[in-house]
Amino acid sequence: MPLSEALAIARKDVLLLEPDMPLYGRMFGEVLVGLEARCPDVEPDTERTGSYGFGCAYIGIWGLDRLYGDDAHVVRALSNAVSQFDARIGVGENKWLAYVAASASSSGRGLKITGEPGRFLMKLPVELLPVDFNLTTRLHEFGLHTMGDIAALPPGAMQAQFGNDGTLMSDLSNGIDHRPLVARRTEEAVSEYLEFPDATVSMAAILPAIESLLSRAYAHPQLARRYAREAKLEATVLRRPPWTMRVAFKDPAGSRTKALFSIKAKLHDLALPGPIEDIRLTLSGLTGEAGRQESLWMEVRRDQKLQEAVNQLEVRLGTTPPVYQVRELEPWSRIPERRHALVQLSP
Amino acid sequence: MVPNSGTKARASAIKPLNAPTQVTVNADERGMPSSVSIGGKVNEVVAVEDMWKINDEWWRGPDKEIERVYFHTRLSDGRPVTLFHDLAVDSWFRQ
Repeated sequence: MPLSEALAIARKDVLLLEPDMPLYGRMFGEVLVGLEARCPDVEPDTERTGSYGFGCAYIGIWGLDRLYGDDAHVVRALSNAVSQFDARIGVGENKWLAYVAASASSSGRGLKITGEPGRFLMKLPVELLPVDFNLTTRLHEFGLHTMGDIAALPPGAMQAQFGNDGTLMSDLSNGIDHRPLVARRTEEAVSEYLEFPDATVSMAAILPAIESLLSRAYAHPQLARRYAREAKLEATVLRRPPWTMRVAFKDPAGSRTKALFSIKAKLHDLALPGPIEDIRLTLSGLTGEAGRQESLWMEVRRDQKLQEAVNQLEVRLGTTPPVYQVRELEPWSRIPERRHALVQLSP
Repeated sequence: MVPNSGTKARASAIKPLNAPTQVTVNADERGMPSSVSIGGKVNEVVAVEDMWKINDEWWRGPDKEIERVYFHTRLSDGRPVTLFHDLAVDSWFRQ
């Protein structure tokens, strides 16, 4: 149900809470780390839950029986890893079956699909299929209410009617899913957190705080004699959604001063959405290399960068920026002021 | 014939470089600079390291003729300064 519709029905006594995506990301990251401590192949479900991939993860449990015993013991071990939440765990031959099993299981429990998957799926509603809401509505219009209804149709008919989505729905309703499990690549990062005594918008307070966070981060053993390629700033904003900013360092930053310089430059033109209550700094892309690969076509790249800078200045100033270059006019002239001139830059 | 593009002339798009600025110079009886006033301060010329003369565009008439005597000088504070005496208007310039 759209939010506007829900608000119209509720009319009053509604408290709207802004989603705290950075917090959810951190919490789910902790869950994934806990799962990875028990099983190395963990893939957050970014397809289903949007690019954030919060709340759902696939785990490859092949071979874990030697470590934990049968599947029931594996489920218990995974459930213990997510002790702060009531996890639903599904065990299946592929990602789709595991997802459906987890959806059908109860909180803190596991469910395993055994035998013919079609029999398990046949009574489940089509709303579980990972397709657009409008497509599900059309399925109902065609009298297809369960996966069993879809599985009873030939795949060709589904494809003819719904195209690629039809093939997908037909395959999934028959328990067929060829998507491989792609374990996430864990990224090394150093994170530091600071809380302000009072919410502030003043850069005079925020910049020293960032400097302090950078000092703490670079003092971390993980960053000893190493460089960071990216910094992420997250802040809780008073009565507003959280604020996030990413700064990609042109050259990997190996010191507080260098990182602060880039962050300051980005913060300079930025207006904060409101007073911030705390701030978290995360340095990632850690590397032992400080070098930067130079372009083969330096001249071309330089002109492009120059043109980009001029365009940005033009937008900011609202007029042609006073950027000039020295051009030869009459270099042979005996009169010095006629030899060269400043002309409007046009890279 | 090339049609008129309609674009306004943009004189501001070209700025002269190394344009001469008028200065006050005290010259001796031989016409050599002995002191120059720059920024309200009088600086003594301690040496004339080079000197040359240009005479150009005389064919455009006496009003537009360019006739300058250049002096590459060194001031008392060590700065090198190039001055010229414009003979056409009898004025001194720094360049």
